Amino acid sequence: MNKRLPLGLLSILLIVLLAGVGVAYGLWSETLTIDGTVNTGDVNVEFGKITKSEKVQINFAPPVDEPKEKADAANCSYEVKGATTDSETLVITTEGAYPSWHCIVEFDVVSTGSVPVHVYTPQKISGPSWKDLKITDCRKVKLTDMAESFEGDYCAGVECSPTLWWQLHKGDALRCKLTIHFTNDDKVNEKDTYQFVYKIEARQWNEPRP
Amino acid sequence: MRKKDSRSLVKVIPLLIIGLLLATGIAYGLWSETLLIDGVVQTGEVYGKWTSCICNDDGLDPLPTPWPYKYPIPVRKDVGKTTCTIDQKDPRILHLTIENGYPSYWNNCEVHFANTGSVPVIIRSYQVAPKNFTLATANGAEDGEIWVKYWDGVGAQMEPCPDDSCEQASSIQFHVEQPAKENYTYNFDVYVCLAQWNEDATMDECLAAAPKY
Repeated sequence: MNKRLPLGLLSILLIVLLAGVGVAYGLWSETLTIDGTVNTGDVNVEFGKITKSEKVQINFAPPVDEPKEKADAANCSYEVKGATTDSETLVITTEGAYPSWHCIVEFDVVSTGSVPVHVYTPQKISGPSWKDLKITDCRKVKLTDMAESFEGDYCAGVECSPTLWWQLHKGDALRCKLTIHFTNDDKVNEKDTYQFVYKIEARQWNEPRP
Repeated sequence: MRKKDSRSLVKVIPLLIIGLLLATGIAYGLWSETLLIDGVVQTGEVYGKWTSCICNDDGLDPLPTPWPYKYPIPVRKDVGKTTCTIDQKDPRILHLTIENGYPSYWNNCEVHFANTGSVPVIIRSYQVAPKNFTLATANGAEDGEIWVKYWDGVGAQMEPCPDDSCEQASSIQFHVEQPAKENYTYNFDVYVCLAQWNEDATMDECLAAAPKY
C-alpha cells in the first residue's frame, strides 16, 4: 500500500487551502476609492456697456459737443455682432465724417467666464494711420450694482503700451475709449470709406502671452 | 530590419509632432478669447454749386444805380449784352459774359448758390481777381478798366440741402470804366470760398481747392 498522498489530490488540497486563506484575508482588508469629477471653468469676455458721443472742434479749439443743428451732417453708430459667441465683434460705423468731427465710443470688455483673465491693450490690426484714430483711457472697472470703482493702471488720454494687461475676475471690466477723428493733415478723401480693425485679446490669467 | 524600423520612425515622428501641436493649439484656443472692433468710416463731402444767375437785361442797357456821374442820366439804348450761365460740366463755375461793352455799361446780376454737400459750410471770404486789367476802386472811379463788386454774405452758414438755410443769394455788379480799350476782351474771376463750418480757411487755401477751367 502506498502511504504517500497522490500528487493530484495534494494540488487540489493546496488550492482549497489557499482559497480559504484568501477569503479570510479579504474579510480583513478594505479598499478606498477616489471617484473624481472635473468640471472645467471657462474663459469668456464680452462687450458690456457701450456709449457714444459726437464732438467737433471749432477753429481748432478743444472738442465740444456737436451743436444740434449740425447733428445730421455726420453720425456714428455701433452694434455688437455675434454676441456671446467666440467671434463677438463691435461694429462701429460713421457716416458723413469730416475733418475735426469726432466720434467717441467708450466700451467695456467684461469678464463673464469663471476663470480670471488678462485682457491686453487693444491692438490695431488694420486701418488708416490717422493720428487720432486711437484707443485710450483704458482702465479696470469693478462693477457692482450700485457703483463703479476704478483700479490698476490707467492710460489717461493716451494709448496704453501694447504689452500692458489688466487682470479681470468675473464681473470686472476693462473700460476704454475709442476716438475716430481725422484732420486735414491726414489727407482724407471726401466721399470715401475707410475701415479699421482692433483686436482685444483675453487670456487665462496664469498663462503667458506667446 | 532595424534600418527599416528607424526609417518608418523618422516618418511617423513629424506626423506625431504635428498632431500633438494641433491638439495643443485647439486646447489653447479654447482657453483664450478675442474680441474685435470693426470700424467703418464713411467720410462726408464739402460741395457747393451755383444754382441760378439772373442779370438785368430786358433789352435796353441797365443804368448804374446809383448814377455815378455828374451829367444827366441818358436815354437807355440796347447796345451791350450780359449773359450768365452755369458751366454744364462743373456747376461750381459760373460764366459771366459781357458783349459789346462800353464805358458806363453797367449791370447787376443776382446769383444763387447752394450747399449740396453733406457738411455744413460757412462763407469764409471772396475774391475778385482781374486777369488782364486793373480793377477800378469804385463804381465810376475811372482808375481801372472795369469795376467789379461782389456782395458777399461772408460769415453766413449754410446747412446741407434740403435745409432751409442751404441756399444763399448774392449779387455781382460791374461797370465798364473810361480807361477800357475798344475791341478788347477783359477777363476776371470771382471766387467765393465755402469752407467746412467749423474750420477757418484762408483765401489761399480756398483758391488751392478751387475748380480749374
